[in-house]
Amino acid sequence: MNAPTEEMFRDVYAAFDREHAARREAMLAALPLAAPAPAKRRGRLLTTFTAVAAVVVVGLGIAGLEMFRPTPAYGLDGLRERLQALHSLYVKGWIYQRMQTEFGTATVRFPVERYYERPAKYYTVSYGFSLGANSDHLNRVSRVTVANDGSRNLLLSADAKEAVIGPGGDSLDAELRVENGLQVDEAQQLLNGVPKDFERVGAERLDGVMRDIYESKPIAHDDFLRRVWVDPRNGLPVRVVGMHRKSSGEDVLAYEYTVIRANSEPPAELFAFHVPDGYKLTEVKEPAAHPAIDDYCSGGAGSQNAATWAALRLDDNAVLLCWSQWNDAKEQKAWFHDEPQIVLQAGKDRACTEHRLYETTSGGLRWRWSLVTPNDKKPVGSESMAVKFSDPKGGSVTLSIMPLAFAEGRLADMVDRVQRRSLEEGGDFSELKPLVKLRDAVGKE
Amino acid sequence: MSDTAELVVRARDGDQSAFGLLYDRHARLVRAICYDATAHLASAEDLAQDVFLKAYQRLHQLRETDRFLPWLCEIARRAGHDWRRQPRREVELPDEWSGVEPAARREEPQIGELRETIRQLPEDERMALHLFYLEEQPVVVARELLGLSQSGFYKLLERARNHAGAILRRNQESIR
Repeated sequence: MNAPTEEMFRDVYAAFDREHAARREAMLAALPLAAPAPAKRRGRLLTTFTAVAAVVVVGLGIAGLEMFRPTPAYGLDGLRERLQALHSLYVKGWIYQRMQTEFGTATVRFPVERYYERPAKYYTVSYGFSLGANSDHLNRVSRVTVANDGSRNLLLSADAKEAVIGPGGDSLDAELRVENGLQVDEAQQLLNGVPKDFERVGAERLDGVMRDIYESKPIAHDDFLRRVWVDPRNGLPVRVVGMHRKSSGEDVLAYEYTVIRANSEPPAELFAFHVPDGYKLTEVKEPAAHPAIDDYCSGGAGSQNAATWAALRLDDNAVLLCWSQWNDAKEQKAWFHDEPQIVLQAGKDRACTEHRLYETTSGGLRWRWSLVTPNDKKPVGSESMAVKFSDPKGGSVTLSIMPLAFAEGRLADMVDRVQRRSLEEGGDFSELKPLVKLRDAVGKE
Repeated sequence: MSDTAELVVRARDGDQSAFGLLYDRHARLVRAICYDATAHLASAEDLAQDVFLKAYQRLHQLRETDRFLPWLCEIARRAGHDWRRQPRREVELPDEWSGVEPAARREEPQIGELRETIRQLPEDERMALHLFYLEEQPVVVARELLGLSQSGFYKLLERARNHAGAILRRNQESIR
């Protein structure tokens, strides 16, 4: 036999990795039966001290006991919930595009920067890429920057060299934008999927702290995977890489976020509202008198059209959904022409029932408010919702929307405000349903 | 306080997820040390589970929390030693008869041979190979466990590889 190769040594040691996740679970499950033995108390002095300490702890009450609760060390479990509970999040990094040139394949990177702060402050940079017929030539790049601090709003279009600056505008729109940013967009960018879809692949020291590295497990017919570096001290990602893994084994970068900071002040320049030289500036003096609903997601196929605006998770049992559907095969639109099929998407679709509340007109569209409840009576969970329409004559539309979650106190206020916005154009608020009544209605179903 | 020490302190306070992270980082090395004793992958994996449970129960005995890995490796070595001394009532089936699909079953025979060869190396050479292929910071851990500098560690590693190659050649020649 020739001398053992590096590959052979690696194959030898790969065997010690088998079934690691299952064995980890089994080991953790056995731990409560093997609790760490407490240190033996030596002498009456230590016993007396311990007794006094116990009295002090009891005297401090529940809040005091909270102070002594050990801070857990985090893996990936609960990461989505931790992201959703943040006051603010700052993300900076790059997105990558590959293109063919006469000299070979080139990778171009574009800077991205985003900041979301509850309730209604945000900064986003987004790109549009126009690719050639074979998706290998980058024909055009557009970039839009939006900054809104509640009192002012700036929109910059880099390719058109135009800027619009005006009042902060409608706080409800900004709040929904921030919540969608934190609960949906960032959660998907940083961690798409659930912890069981990831496996720990190593560790790396970043900024002097050892971070655990998790990678999404490969899924058939999907070459995209994410790698997340997690700070075990607070369970938050500090670096994320998204890439396509080619059949050749090559990893092609799609994006990487190299700075991720939670609950910290944003860089000052994000909200300086500076208009670059050479931009055509439009100043808006007054906000719209009656802001209308601006669809969150819309689509059409053939004569079939649909849009969603807001989805709020009322509790484990129901979602409040605002949506629209119309068929424009004929001269006049036929509203809510086709019944929706609504499902919660969690691997296997979970069928839901739509309970109509009322309809209203806003922004040139007819909108319907509905309560949506899962048929299987299981909790709504944190899954996204799909609203599907099929036209027997051809054309089907599927819209995805993630129900937003709010703390109880804020939820009642948001339920009121979103409905009020949709009813503002007509001026009649008699149909508005407060949270308490909506939950009662669900209870009776 | 180092990162490992912090996890140990939290685990000692009852934070099982902290112990889970320590398991993630060092379970493979413990399995390799257990395999040195058992020569059987499934037994090594079971023994490694026992090692971690013992370590969890005895965490309060670890005074220098920075020394968690050397302490854990010592528990694993002693567990392997006790395992070898225990009388075996049941005949241990070779992996290919046990009904379990071990990695060895799907391996090339030469990989199993190499694994067995590594078992025959002196302990320091074995550990050098284990650390290099199983630990994320082998040089740092080698300093802790073996008292070696970076150059000393890589020299030991090279010696271990060469020694394994020599044993394999000798075994092949004796077959002919």
